[in-house]
Formats: sequence, C-alpha cells, structure tokens
Amino acid sequence: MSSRASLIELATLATKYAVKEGATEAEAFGVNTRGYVVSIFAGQIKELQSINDVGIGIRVAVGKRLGFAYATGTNFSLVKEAARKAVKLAKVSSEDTYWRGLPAPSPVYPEPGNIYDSHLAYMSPETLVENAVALIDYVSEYKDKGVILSRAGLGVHTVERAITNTNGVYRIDVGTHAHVVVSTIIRKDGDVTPAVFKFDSSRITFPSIERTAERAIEVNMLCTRKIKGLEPRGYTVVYVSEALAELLSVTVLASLNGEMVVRGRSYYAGRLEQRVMDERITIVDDGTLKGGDNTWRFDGEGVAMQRKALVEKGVLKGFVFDNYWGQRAGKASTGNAVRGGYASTPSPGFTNVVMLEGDASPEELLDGRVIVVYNVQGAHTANRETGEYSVLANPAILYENGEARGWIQGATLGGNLYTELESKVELVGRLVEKPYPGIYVPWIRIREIRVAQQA
Amino acid sequence: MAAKNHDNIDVDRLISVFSKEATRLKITYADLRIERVKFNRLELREGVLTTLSGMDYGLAVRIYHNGAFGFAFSSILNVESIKRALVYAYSMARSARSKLPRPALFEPAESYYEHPVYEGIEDVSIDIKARDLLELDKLLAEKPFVKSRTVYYYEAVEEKYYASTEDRHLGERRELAYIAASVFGQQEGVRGSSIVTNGTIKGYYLWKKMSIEEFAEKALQRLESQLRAKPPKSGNFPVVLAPETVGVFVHEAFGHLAEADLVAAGSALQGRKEQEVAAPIVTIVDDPSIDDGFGTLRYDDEGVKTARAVIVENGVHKQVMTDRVHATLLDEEPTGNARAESFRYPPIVRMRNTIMLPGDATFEEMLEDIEFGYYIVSTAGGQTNLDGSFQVGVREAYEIVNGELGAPVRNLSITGNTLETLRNIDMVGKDFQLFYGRCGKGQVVFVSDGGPHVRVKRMTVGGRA
Repeated sequence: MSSRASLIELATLATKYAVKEGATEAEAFGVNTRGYVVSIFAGQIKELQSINDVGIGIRVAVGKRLGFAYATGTNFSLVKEAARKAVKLAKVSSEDTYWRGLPAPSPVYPEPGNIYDSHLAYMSPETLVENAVALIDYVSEYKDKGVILSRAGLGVHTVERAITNTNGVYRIDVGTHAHVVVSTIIRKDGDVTPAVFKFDSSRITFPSIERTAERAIEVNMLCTRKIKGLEPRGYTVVYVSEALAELLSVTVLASLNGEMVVRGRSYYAGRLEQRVMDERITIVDDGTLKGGDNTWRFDGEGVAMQRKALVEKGVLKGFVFDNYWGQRAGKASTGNAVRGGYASTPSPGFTNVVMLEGDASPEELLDGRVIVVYNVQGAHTANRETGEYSVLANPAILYENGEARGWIQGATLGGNLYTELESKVELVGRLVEKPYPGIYVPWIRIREIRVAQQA
Repeated sequence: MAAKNHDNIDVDRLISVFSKEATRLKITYADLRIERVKFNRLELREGVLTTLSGMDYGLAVRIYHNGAFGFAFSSILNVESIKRALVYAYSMARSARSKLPRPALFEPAESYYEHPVYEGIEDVSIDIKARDLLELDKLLAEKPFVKSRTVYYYEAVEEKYYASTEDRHLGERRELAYIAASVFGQQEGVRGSSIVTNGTIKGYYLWKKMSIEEFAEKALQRLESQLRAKPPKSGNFPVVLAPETVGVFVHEAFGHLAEADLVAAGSALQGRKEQEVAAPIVTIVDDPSIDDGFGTLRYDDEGVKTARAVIVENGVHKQVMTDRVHATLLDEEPTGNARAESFRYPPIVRMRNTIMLPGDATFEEMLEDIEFGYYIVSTAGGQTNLDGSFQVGVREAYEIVNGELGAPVRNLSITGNTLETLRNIDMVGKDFQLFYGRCGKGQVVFVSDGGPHVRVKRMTVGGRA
C-alpha cells in the first residue's frame, strides 16, 4: 500500500486492527508536525533544524484493562504492530475499576478561526534564516550599550492532528504556529545584568522580532543601575506577566486541574461556588480562543474544545477535566485532554489560560514605591498544596512614582499565592500579555510581600 | 555492513542512497543516523499495572558546510525522507552564515556490533515481566509502614546506524533494561521515602544481577532506616561517601564541568589542564568500555570511536570530554562523547560511564579515626552550577560515632565547592560499584556512574526543612 495514506486513514486502520486483535474499545491519535527551527547562541546562528515528525498513538481497552502503544512514521505494518502491542499490553495490565469508556463525539465542534495560515505553512527555511539574521542585526545596533543576544530561537510549525475511536469520533484538524524567543544580557564595565527572556507567537503571521528583542532590551536597561541595602520587610510588589504566569502555573493551575481535585491534592477541592480570589480576578480556559497558541477544534480525545470559566469574579466555578478524570469526578470532560503528541496518553491539562484584564493603567500600577518583578527563578519549588513560594526575583526593579530607580540584585520573595490572590490584590492591570505559549495574563499589584536582598 | 532488515525497512539501501546523494553535494561533512528503538514501559502504582509501548523509528541528517550545521530529521524511514532531509539540512547549513570551526574528521571505517545478551528482551514474554514486577510489588506491600509504592520498569531494544561522507558505516545494537522501585512510608509521625534502581544492557537480566527478594529487601531496609532516623547536626564534619553517592558526585558535581561545551562556556575546569584539581589519590575517568554500563558504546552518535577520557589522573586534570567540533575548537583529543537522545536531536557532549577508580583503603579503615561524622549512602539529586558550587539532598545517611556506624539521620543536605571537596579526599576505598540512571541536559540519555567508598576530611552538612 502507498505510504501516502492520510493520518486519519492510518488512525482508522489502527483502531480496526486493534478491535480485530481483541480490543473492546480503541482510539488512535495521529500527529504530523513539520517545520523549521533556528537556534542562536552568543549572537551567532548555531544550528538550523528541519522537523518532520509523524506518528500514531493507539489506546485500547480490553474490558477495563488499558494498553497504549505508538509507532513513528506512516508505515502500515508498523501501525498494525503498534495496535497489536497495545492490545497485548492491555491484556497483561491490571483492571482499572474506574474505567467507563472512551468519549463519544461531541454534538458540535467549534470553528475558532485564525489557527492556520498558508504562508506560515509554506514558509521556506531561508525566510526563517532571514528573520534570524535580522534579529541578530537588530540587537547588534545596541552593541555600544553592551547588549548581547545570548540566546534566541525562531520556529515555524505546521501541525496536523487526527483522531478516531470506536465510539464514532472521527476528526481532523490542521494548524500553523510561529514563535520567537529572545534572551539578552548587558555586559558592561565588568557588570552583567540577568538574562531576560521574551516570547511572542502567532498562528497566522510571523511575530515581530524587533518588538520582542526591544522588550527584552528594555528590561535589561533597567538593570544597569543597582540598588543596594534594601531593608527586608513587606513591600508592595507588581508581578509582571512573566512572573505571574510562572507562579500561577505551579500553584493555582495545578489546583484547578481535575485530576488533582479527584486525588485530593487540590487547594480548591470542595470549594466550588465559594470566593477564592479577589473579585477583580476572572480566569478562563479557552480552547476556542481565536488565534490562541493551543486552540484546536478538538482535544486529545476528540472532545470539542470549549471556553469555560474556572474562576469568575473571584468565585470558583470549575476545574479542567479529560474524559477519564471527569467521569471519576462525576462530570463531563471539559475538552481538556492534553497530549504531548502521538507518543503520550491524554491527561487533564490547560488549553489557553486567560486571566481577564482589570482596570488599572500602567501609571496606577507603578504609583508610589513598588518593587516590580519581571521574572522569578525557582518557581517550580513552590508548594502546590499550600501555595507557599520562596523564589529569586530576577530582575526586580524598584520604582518610585513611576520612575525606575534601579535593579535590586539578589532579591528573594516569599509569599503564598493562594492567600495573596484572595486578600492582598491591590490592582489588576488593564493590559493582558502572553508571556509564554498559551497563557495570557495582566500585571498584578499585590501588597505586603516579603522581600529580602542577599548581602 | 550487514544491517538487520525487518519491518520492510532496508537500512543498507537507505545508507547507500545517502552516500550517493551526499557525495554529490561537495560538502565538508555530512552524516546520517538511522534509529530503530522498540521499548516497553510497565508501571505499578499501588499494585495497579499500566503499560506503554513505543516503536520509535526515524532518521537524522546533519551537514556541516561553510561554518554551520544544518540538521534535519524525519520519523519516516524511506528513501524520500533521506533525500528531503539532505536537501533541508544542506539549505539550512548554507544559509546560516556562521563561523563554527570545522569538525574533526576521520578515516573510513566499517563496523557492526551487537552487545551480547543473556536473554533477549523480545524472547521473554510481557506476561513474565509483569509477573516478576507484581512479585516485587507484593514483597514491598508486605511491610505495614509502607504507605505508597511505585515500581517502574523500562526495556528497549536499540538499533542505531551511522554513515558519513568520510565513508564510515557503523551500526550498534543494545538491549537495555532499567528498574526503579520507590516506597513512601510513615510511622509514628515520621515520613520517609526510598528509591532503589538497577540497570543492564544484557537483555532480560536484571533479576539475575540482583534477585527480586534482594531488591525489595534493599528498598524496605532503606525506608525502615529513614523512619527511625533523627535530624542531623549542622556544621563541617568528616564524611564517608558510599559508592552510590560517589557516583552522583563524579557525574553531577564534577563530570559536567569537564564536558567540552561547558568548558568552552567557562566551567570551573576552564584553563585548568595539567593542574592539580583533586587529591593525588583521586582518578576519575569516563569509560565507554566497562562491562554492562548504560554508557557502554563502541561508537558515539557522531560515528567517533569511543575512547576512555581520563579527566583526572592522580589528582591532575588531564582530559575533557569532546565531540567533533569541540575537539577542534579546544584542540583536544576526540573522545567519542557526542550523544543524542534520539533521531529528533543533534548530538551534543554527554557523559557515558563516569567513575572514580578504586584505591586501597577498607571501609573499616575509613571509619576508624572518625570521632563524629556522617556516612552518606544515597542521594535525592542536587543542583550544581558552572562555577563549581553544588548542593545535594541526601536520602539515606548514618552518623559515625567513635569509628563505628551509628543511628540513621534524615533531611540532610551537603553543600560545597566541587574542586575543594575533591582536594579534601583523604581515603579511597578498594571496593567498586556501578549505578544506572538517566541524565538530562536538554536531552535525556542513559548513563552510568559509580566508584568506591571515599572519605572526605570535611564537608558542610545542613538540615532541610
């Protein structure tokens, strides 16, 4: 048979074959990723990569016993072997008494828009390199100020997804994605500023490399003057979107994950419809966000992507579930089955997380004497069960009445994000930024966060 | 080269297409990697078995041209993929406008090697493996103080082929297996956990290296000692490190500093060649030839014959670990340390089997004149910095009191400077043990590390909350 079979054809073949081998249910999820990535190191292009990654993951149930296997490529015999293996593995697995079956097709699938662009899909590697060279040239204009492009990455990808299962799910989807990551430092007169990372992405156009680089350099420039001897005590802190996203991901988002709720490890378990945050905070997960980084028509199990409020005006409204953990919680899937690709099984995760804008202007956020935290190091050590964190703010800039006074080198922050979002929020910014893929948050101003400066 | 052909994939034909097409491009260097990895993962959580299996097949082409590398991979193994990958890699290398040094080049070579196995992974049915794991889990569950258990088993048959424009045609086949059992326990308000691991590249051989009973016993004994452990004193003390800790130390705290790319980036070993960096009784090597190591390989992923890298010999820093480019850049010997996680990644400088060589002391001699100190058996990972500072969390440790092993201690961490610690070693044991694990540096590869018992005159010991 031809190797040009489409992904959905291969997926269908896989499920049929699995049933023939003895599966009572089968699901095949295929992903085909093509694209290019340029990596820049120390102001020079280090490597150019071309990506062509296609494969099919097959999940089967034999009664309540589950098995999963995947194969790379589009070779029919390998796909069949993977199907056979999945069934074989299911037969040796233990029974999962919670298993209630694969999902059925959703009644309606969304048409989110702005997730595919043919120019991105057919962008040549030469064009990507031109963009990389333009980035290098742009940053070198700041050479006299000591700015160095320490690392950068540019990439463009086209992703095709296909899913089918024995309950009638049969869907395909295709999307494009382009991204830029820039990290700059300033090395001048023997001093080095922290490396500042900035990210931008788009599903339909190549993001502006100049604007991304400029944003990184702007933060670097704030670090050329240093503040020493900051007295350790509680300060009003403004978390820039990068810092807020880092802390949110480890604590709040972990506790809004349905699996964590069912396993009794979520801070928010049992608090639905209660006020858990300041009433100016609304958090949604939106798999249908127009042009969102993680926007698709269906999730990793073929369930329609949806928009759902998790926290609305401070009140806890819901959690994210895939089919399995939803059933365990007695709820429907929220279209949040996330997979790392064809090689992994689905689990509950987030699509596009959006914290809606507040009403504070940049001037209001920076009013008075505040410490602005542009990023944090060590967020992953925060305690998701309790919300406690102790991180290095890097960089942290002291502002007085809207004026940057200098970099507080070695500033450590200690706090509890759960209680801060509940009762210490002063202001929520009116501009929402996307510091990392699929997370959209404003700046936020919080009072009484303990800050100390290392000697 | 007699590559094994199955799954309708003719490796020899793919290689000959590559050679023909790559020669036509008139470039300095190009290579092709073809990989076929079949793996199974079995996991038991509280006795519930889940399984995952993968057939990870693919190819990667890398081209060096005009001072830059182009890299292209495909998960489709056919002639069309090779041709397309070559075109992509070439156009990428050509447009990069960089000034990387030329990679070290070698003579033509031909080799295909299958690492010998006791019992082939594919010759033992998955039912038998599941049964063995369930038996292990049952033993772990028997103790009332065990509150949670995870058994993780991974096995892979790796076939890797390499061809380059230097007319090097190489192939290697390994069968790798890895087991980890972790138990969490609670007794009278004290919580603790322990992990025991083992590995082999000799097929389905784990339980012949250490029986299921012995393995379970080790995990339980470690946990049991944690549950009756007391908090440590903070301060500077003489410390005896067991082989498992020495392994982590020579790999994590020291080995990374000797990777050529990190040396070039300014690690604490930069500019220290032929200088004394450790006590004269210390010799540390990265050895790709030791029996049954996760890093035991004939050739690396750049087709370079692997050679023993003598990083420290009798206390003096001799060699760094290199790939082709850094061998040229730093004017160092090629050691064959370039490894890639899979065909999806270009190779970078990685360790293989990093070990401290044994000396002549016995364990009893090491304890003998210690009035008070610590015996550190196993670690819970740590963090190191290019400047040579390290912090390692300790999982299992005991007091040493008046030359004898005393009570277990918990929540201990050790911190310090790697080179200073190496200089403070005053005894090296005559025993030796090898350990198995994975190391991440953007990509994850299987490595081994190990060594003898070692005594350090003083180390900073602290408690963790």
